[in-house]
Amino acid sequence: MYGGRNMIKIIGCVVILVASTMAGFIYSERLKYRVFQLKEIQRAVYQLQNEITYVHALLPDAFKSIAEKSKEPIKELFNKTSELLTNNEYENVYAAMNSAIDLTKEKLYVNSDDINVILDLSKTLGESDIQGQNSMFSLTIANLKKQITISEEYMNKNIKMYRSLGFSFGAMLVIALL
Amino acid sequence: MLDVSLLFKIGATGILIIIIDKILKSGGKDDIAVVANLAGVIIILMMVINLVNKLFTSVKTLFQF
Repeated sequence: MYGGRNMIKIIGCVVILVASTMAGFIYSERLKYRVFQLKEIQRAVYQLQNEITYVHALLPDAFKSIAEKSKEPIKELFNKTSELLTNNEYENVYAAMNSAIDLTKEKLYVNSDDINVILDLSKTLGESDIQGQNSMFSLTIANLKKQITISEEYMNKNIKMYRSLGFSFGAMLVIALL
Repeated sequence: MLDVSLLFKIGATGILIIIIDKILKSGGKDDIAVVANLAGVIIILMMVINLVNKLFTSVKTLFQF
């Protein structure tokens, strides 16, 4: 009954099913990574505030020291910013940060809203006194907290959906091909 | 003779579409659920279109004297 051709057919169906289920799982992992990276950025922003208000560090050094304390890929983002600022290639912090984000874009799972929050902070960095920067820091942290709540809600809502959708589409494909 | 496996295929597709619709609706994506339903209807139509075509041609030959 189960000849060679049938066997190959069954194996192919299983491969398709497993692949699509995996795709669903991998896609749902992205949502988790976004929450993780946002929390990492929030922690880094707190540390940057400390570096500026208490240590009075220069911005490239401050970026370097928070990069050392962060995990990948946030580490790479701040390292790149620090490098670009040290090399004096850019007019202001905003431009350096922008191109650092462009360089690390494929490793960041955050969306454009989250990136805008950080870029807004970088617009005022180094262009005002400590008090002005502190108020900008508190605004950024409030915005980051809002983004974290939004992304966590989105994750809880969609993580199961993407997993079961992956399996369902695989099963659909198998039925269509059978 | 009519192929029975086609009936099973249509049934399984229908069940899967119901599942996908439920999943999408519970995720709050009602608009995408409607699109998925439409896609399912089209997929099933593609499956039976050969049979419908056969039926029409046989009816046509019936009335050709």
